Amino acid sequence: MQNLFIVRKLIVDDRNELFEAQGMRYVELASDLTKVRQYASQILADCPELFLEGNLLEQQLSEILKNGIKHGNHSDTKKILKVWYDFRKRVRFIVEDEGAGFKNLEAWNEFFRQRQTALFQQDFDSFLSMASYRGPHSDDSDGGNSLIAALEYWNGGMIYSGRRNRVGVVRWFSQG
Amino acid sequence: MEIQFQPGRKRDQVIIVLEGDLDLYATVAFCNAVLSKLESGTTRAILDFGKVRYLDSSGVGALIRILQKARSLGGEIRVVRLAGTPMKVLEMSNIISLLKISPDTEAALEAWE
Repeated sequence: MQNLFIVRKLIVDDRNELFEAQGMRYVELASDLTKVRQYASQILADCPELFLEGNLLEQQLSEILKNGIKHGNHSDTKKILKVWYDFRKRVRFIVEDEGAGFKNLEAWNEFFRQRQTALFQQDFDSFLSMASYRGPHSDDSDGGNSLIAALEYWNGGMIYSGRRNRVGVVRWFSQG
Repeated sequence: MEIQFQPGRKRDQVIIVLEGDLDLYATVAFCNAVLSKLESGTTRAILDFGKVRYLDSSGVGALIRILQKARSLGGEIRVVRLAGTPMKVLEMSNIISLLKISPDTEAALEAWE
């Protein structure tokens, strides 16, 4: 059997349908990093259990909220994180911060391509050295890998706006 | 998160039992505690994930730093009782192939005999 080498990418597309917010519910959150998991639990309070997958959805939503609060709004509690969400048939979120946008998106895509190449070639030394992305503002509590799992988890797409301060995601469920 | 250190069968071995959520709030303390243990000479560590119910990207990043440190010291990390969301997150983060996984502590210790 032929091995397939597929590398997913973060995509910028202002006009993507994932940014269509009509009919979605909406909440504004203060950018308090200590409340990330609390916010995720509140948003998911009436989410159908089928979509929760244990606490996997809470974990993946928390990652998106954390990225917006920490890297977008720099944990400035006066800055707002806007969240649109929808649990009808599938799980959809749009999250927008007040920051300057994800400027290192292309650098991240290149990091991920090299990392996956090392994995495909079973070059574990290189893979281990590249296992986490370190951006200009990364600190010890940044895993540097949230987007890797996110690209896998959000199986219907993960799209950034032109300004790159808004992300739209969707996950479909086979039984949904 | 609670972290317990238990002795292994040999002086360079340690069993690290984790309980709770390995999330962005717990990661730095967890990582520093394990790195200190490795640097003190116990370079073969078993991480018991049996009571970890939540793992996020911060925790995955900490695990990667711990793997890098153990490798640089000529040691080894073994993960035991991995299941549920932590297992899924490690699979999606694509680092599961880096981990040496044993079903339980006994099996991990046997692997070092």
